[in-house]
Amino acid sequence: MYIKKITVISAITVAIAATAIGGGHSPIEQRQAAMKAVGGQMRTLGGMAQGKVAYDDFAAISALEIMRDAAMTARPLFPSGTEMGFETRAKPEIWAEGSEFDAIMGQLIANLDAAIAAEPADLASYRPLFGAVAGTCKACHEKYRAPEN
Amino acid sequence: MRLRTKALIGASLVGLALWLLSAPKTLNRNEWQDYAGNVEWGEQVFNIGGCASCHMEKGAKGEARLLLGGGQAFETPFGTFYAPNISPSESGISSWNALDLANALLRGVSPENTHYYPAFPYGSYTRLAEQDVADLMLYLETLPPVDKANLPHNLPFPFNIRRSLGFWKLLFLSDAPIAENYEPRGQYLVEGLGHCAECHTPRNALGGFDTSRWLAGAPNPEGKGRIPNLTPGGGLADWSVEDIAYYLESGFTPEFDTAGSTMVEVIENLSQAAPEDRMAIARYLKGLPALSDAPKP
Repeated sequence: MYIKKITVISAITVAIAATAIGGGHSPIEQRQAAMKAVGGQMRTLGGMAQGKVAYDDFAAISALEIMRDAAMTARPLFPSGTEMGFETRAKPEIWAEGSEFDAIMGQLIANLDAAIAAEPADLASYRPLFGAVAGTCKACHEKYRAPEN
Repeated sequence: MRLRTKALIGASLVGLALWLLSAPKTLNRNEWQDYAGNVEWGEQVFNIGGCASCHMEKGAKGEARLLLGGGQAFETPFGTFYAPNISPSESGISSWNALDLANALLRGVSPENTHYYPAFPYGSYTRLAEQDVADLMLYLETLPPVDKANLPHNLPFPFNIRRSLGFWKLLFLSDAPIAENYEPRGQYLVEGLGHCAECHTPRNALGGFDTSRWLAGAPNPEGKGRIPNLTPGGGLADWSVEDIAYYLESGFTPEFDTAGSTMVEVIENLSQAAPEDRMAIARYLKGLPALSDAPKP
């Protein structure tokens, strides 16, 4: 079971890394691909938190691990000089002095690590861990993502 | 009688008629009951009504959302409005009773018997139940007083003539239900207390709702982009009632994208509402006639 899990995850991680690279050479395109990957996993994770789909610890932890890998990929993909282009909705505040952006990204990864390490066995223990992860998504989007045009 | 005298009398009569027509119309003091208010219900009214979003300091979080000293600026095509102080202080509403609050919310009239501008969404609040107003008054009295003077609005002529709002009210102020709908609680929350149409329905040149495009999305008054279409003919077509209710609670779309801009504030408020109320709003929206998105300008 554990070996199977590792195989599945490394296969998916490779697929995501490939998507990120295949998404283009610009860091903007790469981070957009990483965000898409995160969004896909959030649908699985959110569906379980909402009770739309039965809770499955293997599926949940796998999705959290994929999200963590995608978040780690995304974090260095906001270098200065990538403020514009590819219809980016990243706000200039990300690069402003005293920006909390890096701290929130770090918090997202920390919350994902904590959720994975806790290995939540049932829905009750899973929900607050998911809530913490989802909260960091929202906090960052609220502050650092511009509205859709 | 000389012609000039006749003309003068005629003009005065027209003037008098216009003056009377534009007069602020308050609730009948004798018909107002002394409702026994319930402060917990008042808190619900406050949250769904979203009072804090406009009357707190811009961007306030946590407990600071309950400091309602006003001062936020709202840029509109008619000029700049500043939200007033509605905290229970002397600069705010400490001298108000529930009837004063009812006149403000249901009739858009101040205790000094002048018109409020409809940037204060009484065009929707006019549908509120009097009991909800009484409950809200009790709750507002429990909030911390903020000592902060009101800023005057900055409006060009002719919009700076308050009396002229009497004509706007004759044209547009009505507490009649708008959509044909089988979800009365949802209708009350969307068309009245939640005042969703204030942003999600387009307006005509005089700032009244274009009810033929009810909740079908509108240009964003703050600039870029459009405010989404909430009818089943737009982006919500594939959302279930539960999806909408979950969005209003959590801020997550079915795609697990997050809510943006002003809606973040609205969700902050609605996440504190009763789950049945979020479901009622969702059922009302799913029951609306499907209108397609307006073509992009």
